[in-house]
Amino acid sequence: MVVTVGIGSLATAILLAQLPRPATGPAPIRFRNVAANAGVDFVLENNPTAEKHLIETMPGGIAVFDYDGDGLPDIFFTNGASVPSLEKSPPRFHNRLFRNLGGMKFKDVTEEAGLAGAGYSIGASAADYDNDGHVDLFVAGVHANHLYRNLGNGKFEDVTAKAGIGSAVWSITGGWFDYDNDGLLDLFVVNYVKWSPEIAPFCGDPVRKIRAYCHPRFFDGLPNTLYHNRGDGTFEDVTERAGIAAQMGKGMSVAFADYDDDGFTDVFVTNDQLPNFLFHNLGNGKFAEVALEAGAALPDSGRNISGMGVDFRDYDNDGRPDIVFTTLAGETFPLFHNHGNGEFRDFTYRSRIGPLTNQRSGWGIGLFDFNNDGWKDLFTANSHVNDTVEIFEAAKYKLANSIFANAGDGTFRDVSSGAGPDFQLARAHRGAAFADFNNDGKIDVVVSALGEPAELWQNVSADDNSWLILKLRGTRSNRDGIGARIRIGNQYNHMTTNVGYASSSHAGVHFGLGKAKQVDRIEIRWPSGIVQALTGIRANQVLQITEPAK
Amino acid sequence: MLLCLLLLWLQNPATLAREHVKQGFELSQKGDLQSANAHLEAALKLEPNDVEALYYLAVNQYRLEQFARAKTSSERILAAKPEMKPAILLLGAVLEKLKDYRRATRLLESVPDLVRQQPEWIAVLARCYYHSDLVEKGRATLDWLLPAGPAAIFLGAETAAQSGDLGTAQRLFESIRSTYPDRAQLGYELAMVQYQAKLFAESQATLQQLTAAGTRESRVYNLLSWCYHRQNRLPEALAAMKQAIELAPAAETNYDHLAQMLIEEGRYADANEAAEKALVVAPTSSAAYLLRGRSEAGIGNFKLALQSYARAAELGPANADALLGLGMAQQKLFQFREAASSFENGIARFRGNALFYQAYGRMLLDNGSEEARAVSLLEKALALDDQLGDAHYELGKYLLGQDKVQPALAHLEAAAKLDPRDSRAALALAGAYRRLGRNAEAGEQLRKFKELEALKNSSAPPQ
Repeated sequence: MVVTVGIGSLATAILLAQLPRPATGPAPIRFRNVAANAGVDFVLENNPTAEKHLIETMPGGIAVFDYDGDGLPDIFFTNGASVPSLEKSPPRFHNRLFRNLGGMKFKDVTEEAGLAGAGYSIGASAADYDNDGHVDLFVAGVHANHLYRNLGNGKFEDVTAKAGIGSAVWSITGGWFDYDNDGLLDLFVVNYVKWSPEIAPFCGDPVRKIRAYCHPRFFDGLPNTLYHNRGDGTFEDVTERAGIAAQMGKGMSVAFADYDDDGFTDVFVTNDQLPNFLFHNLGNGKFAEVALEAGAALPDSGRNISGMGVDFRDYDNDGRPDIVFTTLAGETFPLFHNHGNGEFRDFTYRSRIGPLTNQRSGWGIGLFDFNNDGWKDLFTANSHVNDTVEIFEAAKYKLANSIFANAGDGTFRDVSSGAGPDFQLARAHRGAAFADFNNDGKIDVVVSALGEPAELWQNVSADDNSWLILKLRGTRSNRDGIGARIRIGNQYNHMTTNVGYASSSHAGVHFGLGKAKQVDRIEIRWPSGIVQALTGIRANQVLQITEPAK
Repeated sequence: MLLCLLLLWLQNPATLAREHVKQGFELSQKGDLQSANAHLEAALKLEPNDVEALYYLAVNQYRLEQFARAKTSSERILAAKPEMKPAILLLGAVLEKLKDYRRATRLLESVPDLVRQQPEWIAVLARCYYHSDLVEKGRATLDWLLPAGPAAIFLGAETAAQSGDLGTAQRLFESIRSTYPDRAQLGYELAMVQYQAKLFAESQATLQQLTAAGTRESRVYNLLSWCYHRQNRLPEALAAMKQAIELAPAAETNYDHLAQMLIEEGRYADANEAAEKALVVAPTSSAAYLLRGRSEAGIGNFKLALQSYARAAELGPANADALLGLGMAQQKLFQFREAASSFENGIARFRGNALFYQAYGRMLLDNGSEEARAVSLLEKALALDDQLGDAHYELGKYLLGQDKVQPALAHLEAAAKLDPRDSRAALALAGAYRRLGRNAEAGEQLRKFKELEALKNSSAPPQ
């Protein structure tokens, strides 16, 4: 079924499929850190101890979402806690919510919103799970997860117990998606390892008594958890029944996409020093773990690597979502190209990402078109996991973030050095979230850093290119339209909020349009199966799109 | 007149040559081979075809391990007197040293009576057979030693052991257990053969019989330690090595072996301590620095490892492993130019050592640079040693990435065959088979990959 909604009926002469590829390289990408001026004064308090408890190096998840429905994305930061008590006292350990006031100004509204939180928080994921039009928030942490329902009046209510999603293991993050296309968002929780403050083996160099954070092999892994949304505010743990429980991992991040185009959203989970998981959604409430068969479990080196943050999007505009994730120095950031027929191939070197990232360590990651030239670029938030790494290796602990521009020919170029003087700031970066905070059509980035102020990277690239941001409103599908697949010309994207490490970006679906001033056709395939087409759309706008009734 | 005749006779070249030969022979008998050869060569200048002088010279050259010269001398004799059996025997022995086993065998077989006269020549002929893959003939030849008594049998056993015929070596050693005078020596040699034959429990028992009989030798406890280690009995292995060290506290080998053992067990900090102790007793030991570097790399301290490897390479210019370790540590520390220099240095200095080509090619592929050169280096590595699984794997992986599936498959299959425990090869093979539509084989390789990974994870030490 195709429903055509005419928003501007003139067919344009400019077809995005014919966008010229840049002859002299991608358009420049520039950022400026405006956090201090914007009033985003968050410092990630990871509480490092002499015992080097593993949790201390892992926090930093960020959720970007419009909690008050004013059309401006707000920012939520997770924060650490005291160790070993795992209590959020003193208040410097509170999670923080910053309301976007417009004009790149933010205000701390944590207390009013009731989101100071509890426990050692790691990751966050936002979505409107109860379809009431107010975006809710899941916060993952060490031995405790929390679900906060947005009451629509600027306040949140902790509904964890009522929802039935309490947990006693160490979770890194959660991800919202509708695995059975019933119009209700389900929750996938990524669990890391079995840990407690009592487990603190000496790792590092015992001869010279130099302590380091332990390799994950010192800890037993955990299965991930899948909760099915019953639609009455409660969830059912279907981990076992869905085939998720059988896979023991050390999960770090999750991303969603329908990689085989069968209409059901699939799940990719990075694991730390274990093969990744690709849970193929069988469409009957069950998943099959197929990463090895699909070629997405390990890079071509065949080695287990430190899978960190992930994005699952189409970088080469062939209509198929690809996988890219961060790792640690010496491992390169793998890029798995979706070859169709359920097969991925390791394009880490073919895309040039391999040599560009061999000496980098990364956490947050996102494939977004930062220069609006029609090709998704790659941002990574960088740092090594171990603050003592420089004693042992050539790898650096604190690193500047990276931006790799998509050259449009299947390769990327490192344009970090030209991204602005303050972009070279080396810190222990962790989570990253992406949104257009000032409605200028350019994707900005917010990044957390251990023990240091968060960074708000305003995209100050030239305004030469056009753009479009689609904000979806599902009716038969889930209200956020999560899982909807969108095609504009030769570009493809899908609505997902899980991007990067422990973070969530709930801010619509962004498209760079190059020099085009109008879009000939937008095609949206909603999770309900409805296919909606819009024609003759003016560029450079935030477009609210409601799913048609049929 | 008579005096004149006498003087003329004395100045006669033949007479002078004989005098030199006589002196050469006498000096040879005394073991002064260099002086002896000077006389013999002087004789040959006067009488170039003096077979006797040539023969003594050839024998001395053989004893001095100047095998190429000994060959020339022997061949000159046989050119003059083809039927001279001692010269045939000598040339056969010389050729065995020069690894021309086929010709050596033919010559030695032509003088069986002479060969049988000396256990040493019997051993030479047996070695020729072993090297020519004529194992049964080698064994039969060594049996000629049986009537010659325990010392000869001991020699035969040693010969069999050196030739890798461990069963024969063990049989021969055991046949003289009650008659060989030096029980400790015999027991140690027997235990060593059993160890080499992977009969670790038997070797352990042999060594324990020695210690029970009162033998207190460091080397015995050292070998006993390895026997325990190979049986995954680390506490006993460490205790035995401790005894070996106590018996010879100044011997570097025991500390080196302890470090090696601990590295194999993944106990890098303890290995590091053992390597440091080796360096206390042998401060300029290249081997000890190499082991210290390996232990530091195991701990993950590549910066220290690099320094140790560099020192090992400096102290041991012939230590190829040290230079290879240095290059790999440099690569790990992103010092790619220095690593390339180390690998190139290794290629120049250790011609024929395929590992430098392999490491260099792998590094270039890892860096995504100079791919054609990387391929050429890996191919050269395989030309030198086609049993290098890693080189096959790297080439296969690279070719697969280039969509050259068939040539990739050949390399990956070779890699998997060479190291059936290499899970990487199984995974890459699965990818290659899948691309060829050979799904059943792809599935089989994935199953194998999972099995190997599970095995690896269950046995990996937590360090």
